[in-house]
Amino acid sequence: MKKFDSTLKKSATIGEFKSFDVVAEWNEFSSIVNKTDTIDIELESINLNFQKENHQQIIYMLGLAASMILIFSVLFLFKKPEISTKELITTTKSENIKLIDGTLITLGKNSVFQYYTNLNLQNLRSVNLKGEAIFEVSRNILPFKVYYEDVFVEVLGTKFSIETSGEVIVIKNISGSVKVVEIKNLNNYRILSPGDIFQYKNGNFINPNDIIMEDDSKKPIIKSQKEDLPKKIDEITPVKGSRFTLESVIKNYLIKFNKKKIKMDKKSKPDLNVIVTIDNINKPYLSILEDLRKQGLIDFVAGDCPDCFVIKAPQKK
Amino acid sequence: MPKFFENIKEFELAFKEYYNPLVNFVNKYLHNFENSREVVQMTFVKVWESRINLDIKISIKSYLYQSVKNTMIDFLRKNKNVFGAVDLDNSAAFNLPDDKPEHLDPYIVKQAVEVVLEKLKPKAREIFSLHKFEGLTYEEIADYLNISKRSVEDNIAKILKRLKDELKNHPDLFE
Repeated sequence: MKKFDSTLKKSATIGEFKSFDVVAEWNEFSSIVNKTDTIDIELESINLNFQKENHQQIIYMLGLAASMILIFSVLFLFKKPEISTKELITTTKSENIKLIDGTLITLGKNSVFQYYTNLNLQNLRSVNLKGEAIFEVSRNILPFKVYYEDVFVEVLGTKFSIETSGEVIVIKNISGSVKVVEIKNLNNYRILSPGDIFQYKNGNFINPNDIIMEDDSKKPIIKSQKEDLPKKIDEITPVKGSRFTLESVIKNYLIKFNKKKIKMDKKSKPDLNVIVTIDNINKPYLSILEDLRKQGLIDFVAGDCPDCFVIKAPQKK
Repeated sequence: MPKFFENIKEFELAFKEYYNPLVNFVNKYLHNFENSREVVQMTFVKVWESRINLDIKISIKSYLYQSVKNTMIDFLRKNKNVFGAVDLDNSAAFNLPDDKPEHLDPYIVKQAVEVVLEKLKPKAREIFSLHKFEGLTYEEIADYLNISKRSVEDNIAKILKRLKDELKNHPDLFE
């Protein structure tokens, strides 16, 4: 209490003591502080906006970089790959070669064989040939194509040979199925069954077994000696049709080429080894079926589905 | 360690309690109430701005006393053209010891007395002044005012109680 008394006495010595309205002073102080705080907040906001803008710029730059990478990636992906080919030329000796896909080729004398060596182009099972060669094509879902002068041979997996005799291209199918197509006219093609030998000259496919119609009134002459044909090819007159076994027509033309579902009537099977004559293999499959029926070789009825047919032996008259 | 000014309400209470003592304390050296108000306002603004990082190891009174003294010296230096170099060098403000916030005590008490006496009746105010400031005893006051000694004692006791209530935040004054 002594301290209070002494302090109280000291306070009495204070001359002029002015009491200000502390509420008003506080309000004034608050306004100063709020203004400062507002400025601080604004500065923070500006800073945040700056950071936000910076952030947006970074995102923009990253986006741009990502887009560039994407564009270059797409360009790289769709860039036409450099196609590197290799050429094998034989003179006096024949040579064997095995391609990446496992296909074996025996290249004859005086031949030129071009093939792709890119690993990325393994799917391009496509080769060029001049001269003669025997192909043992490895089975693959991708067709193997041999470009040879005016035609190309397309196979999935088979053994065949191709050579030129004079102006005639001779294709011998040893096993499997072979499709020979004229490059200029893709609709002009033939399908070869095992053992078939086809010749091509000036847009015409010639089967040595073709019936040569020298004259409509004369009986057809069936060439049985295939080996002799290349030598006599220039003497062959235009053919009126091609001959196949019935089995070949059904398997190669109807089932493989036209993708029809064929069923054999178990009770009355037609003779599949019978030789049939097709005047124009490019005709619609229904016309060919009708021709076979007219020739008295088969009879057929529509199956359960639109592409299904049931083939049976012809009805005896 | 107590944390000061953790919220605006606490700061407001300190502001309202110390504002007038501080202004009058500063005015003792500046002899200008407007400048004194400015110094005190600046002091509180500085304290407010630094409140987050404030690590006060002393009392609020001591802290405010030191702060206002520093602000006052800065103010004098910045305005030396106004106050004059001689006055500035001889200013008693520069000689105020930092470790004696008691310099502020008379101003705190003065304010409390002003507040309490303002609410008293004139006679009670006169009794208190005669006793505390003029140094008259209870009997002298009773004779002078022609009242009983008991009445003087009661009035003084009531006023001291009100002053204690008013200065409840400064218990050190009653040690």
